[in-house]
Amino acid sequence: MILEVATVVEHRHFVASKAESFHILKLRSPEIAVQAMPGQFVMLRVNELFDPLLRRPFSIFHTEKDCLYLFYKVVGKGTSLMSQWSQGREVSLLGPLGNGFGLPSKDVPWLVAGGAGIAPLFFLHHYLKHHGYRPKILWGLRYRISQELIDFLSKYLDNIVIYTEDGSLGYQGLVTEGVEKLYQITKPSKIYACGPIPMLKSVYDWLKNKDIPMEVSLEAQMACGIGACLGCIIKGKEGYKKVCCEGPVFDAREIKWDEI
Amino acid sequence: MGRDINLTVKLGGLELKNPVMVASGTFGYGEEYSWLVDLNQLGAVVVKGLSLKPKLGNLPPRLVETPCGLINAIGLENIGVKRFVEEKLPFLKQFDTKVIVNIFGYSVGEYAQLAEFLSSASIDALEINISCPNIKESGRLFGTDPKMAQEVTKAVCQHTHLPVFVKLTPMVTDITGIVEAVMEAGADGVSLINTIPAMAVNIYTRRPRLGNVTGGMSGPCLKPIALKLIWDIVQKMRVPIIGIGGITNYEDALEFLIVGARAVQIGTANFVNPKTSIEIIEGIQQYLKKQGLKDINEVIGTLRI
Ligand SMILES: Cc1cc2nc3c(=O)[nH]c(=O)nc-3n(C[C@H](O)[C@H](O)[C@H](O)COP(=O)(O)OP(=O)(O)OC[C@H]3O[C@@H](n4cnc5c(N)ncnc54)[C@H](O)[C@@H]3O)c2cc1C
Ligand SMILES: Cc1cc2nc3c(=O)[nH]c(=O)nc-3n(C[C@H](O)[C@H](O)[C@H](O)COP(=O)(O)O)c2cc1C
Ligand code: FES
Repeated sequence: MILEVATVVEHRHFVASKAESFHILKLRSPEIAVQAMPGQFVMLRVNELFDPLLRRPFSIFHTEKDCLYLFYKVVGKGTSLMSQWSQGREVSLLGPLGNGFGLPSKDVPWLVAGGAGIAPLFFLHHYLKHHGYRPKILWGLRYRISQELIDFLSKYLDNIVIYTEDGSLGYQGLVTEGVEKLYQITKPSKIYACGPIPMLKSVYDWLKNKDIPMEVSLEAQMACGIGACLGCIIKGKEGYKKVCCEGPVFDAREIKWDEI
Repeated sequence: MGRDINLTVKLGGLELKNPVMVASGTFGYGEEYSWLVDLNQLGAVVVKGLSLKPKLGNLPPRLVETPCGLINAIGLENIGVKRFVEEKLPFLKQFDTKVIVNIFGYSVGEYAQLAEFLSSASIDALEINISCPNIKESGRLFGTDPKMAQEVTKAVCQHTHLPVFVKLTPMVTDITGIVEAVMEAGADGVSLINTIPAMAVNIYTRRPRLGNVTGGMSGPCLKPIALKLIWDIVQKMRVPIIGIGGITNYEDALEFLIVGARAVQIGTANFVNPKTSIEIIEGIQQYLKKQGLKDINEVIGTLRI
């Protein structure tokens, strides 16, 4: 766990009309970048003022030498301030935090993402390939993303299937439908998922009676990010779990899905 | 740096090497932050509130952010005093800092039992939480009724040799009445303020944004309120006061000291910048140097009206 002043190296904005907007922030953060594992996250301080007050959690999207990348969506005050950052800006980061994903016992794992939930799975995809796996990645979006983002991602990702709710890119429908369809052709060795709770629930419902391991990366409102405030709990089958330090990656079978 | 500057403060029977502590519930049991903060530098560590039995805490969500504030409804989740002494205290004892244990009970008898149990542990002081918005006896908060507050304090003091500080809620019409009552019961001092009851609503689901519906507000928005309450006390009596509420830097801490607090606790700011407490200690030293002062006690309670 390191508290580090990172520097913005590059900030790319994938914004287009009638497309879902995402931003990729590249930060030089030498100590955190070399330690980071897929599924881990950082707590980022938005500014040196106290509004917004708390640090914001972001999954590590990618690492490259002494840099790490974050992939985010603007949803509120903190992320909209972040989206204005330019090169050279200094940012306080706390990380790498959390447990990270476990390796699958065999090929072929599937990575199922919803929206910004692609962030930790992108890193995992890269890592799995590096370890000789051939992961498939299924990504659900509300509507299309900009061509620039498609180009950027396809430099790194092969085997990606995109689903959009309005059919404006890839297949039309929910990513969970994609999972079911693909299952008719081939079987996964393990499923990794990150995205909105309804999506995770429906993947889990589909999978729970099958003999397939599943790991999910969950979110919760966080204050400390390191297990001190007890603010980020989620209901597990064996009691409350702290998302920041006992997660954010959990065995899907340990979660009480009907109570979250 | 600062060898010639005295930061030692005395609060009743407790002496601290400097007036900066970390507040209960914002620093876990100390270990969580020990990777980032040199605990040896702190005046004291106040651990998460402990009860006789382990407590599960409230349903999620437990946190909501507001402008310059944080509402929490943790619900006093803790591992219980027994496990604390066995599993957490040995770690803390490795450091050259005072250990203050924050306790809460559901009855006067429970407070007494906690005090007795902890008196045989190697800790330095007790802080009794009579102010948490989440606990009640017969519908009343211990902390808003001088008689109840006095009873709890007396029970604790009778069962311990340790210095006792009573942590107060701001939700009273006359804070001095409570302070008088607990000092008379044998407390070494008071710490204030605890969080302020608060809530938030999601307008789309029309549901409360906290699992517990309501919670307690902390953070920078508290500071002016805390200062005023301490000022109310200082004007009326001389008692050891630990100032708490929205402190984020050494300037904030000095405001409390100047008004009359003899020490301060850092809470929510730990989450934002884990090194806040250390930076405050350094900042106070620099301030004293620049002001040509050699002793922090030359600053405490020196508000010029
Ligand atoms: C472990 C972890 C990893 C994350 N990784 C990423 C990531 O890689 N990319 C990304 O875009 N986002 C990620 N998030 C979510 C991200 O932290 C929030 O979107 C961000 O904190 C919102 O800040 P804000 O100030 O813009 O929004 P706020 O102004 O705080 O809130 C605006 C709206 O967003 C909602 N919101 C706030 N925080 C969260 C949250 N944690 N989860 C869901 N909704 C939230 C609020 O309820 C509110 O409706 C992650 C969250 C966690 C816990
Ligand atoms: C997440 C959280 C948990 C807390 N838990 C406790 C507790 O267990 N016992 C207690 O006496 N105070 C508790 N407090 C109150 C703080 O110790 C402190 O009084 C309050 O937060 C005001 O200080 P601040 O503005 O610096 O945070 C808690 C505060 C927060 C934010
Ligand atoms: S965010 Fe504080 S315990 Fe998880």
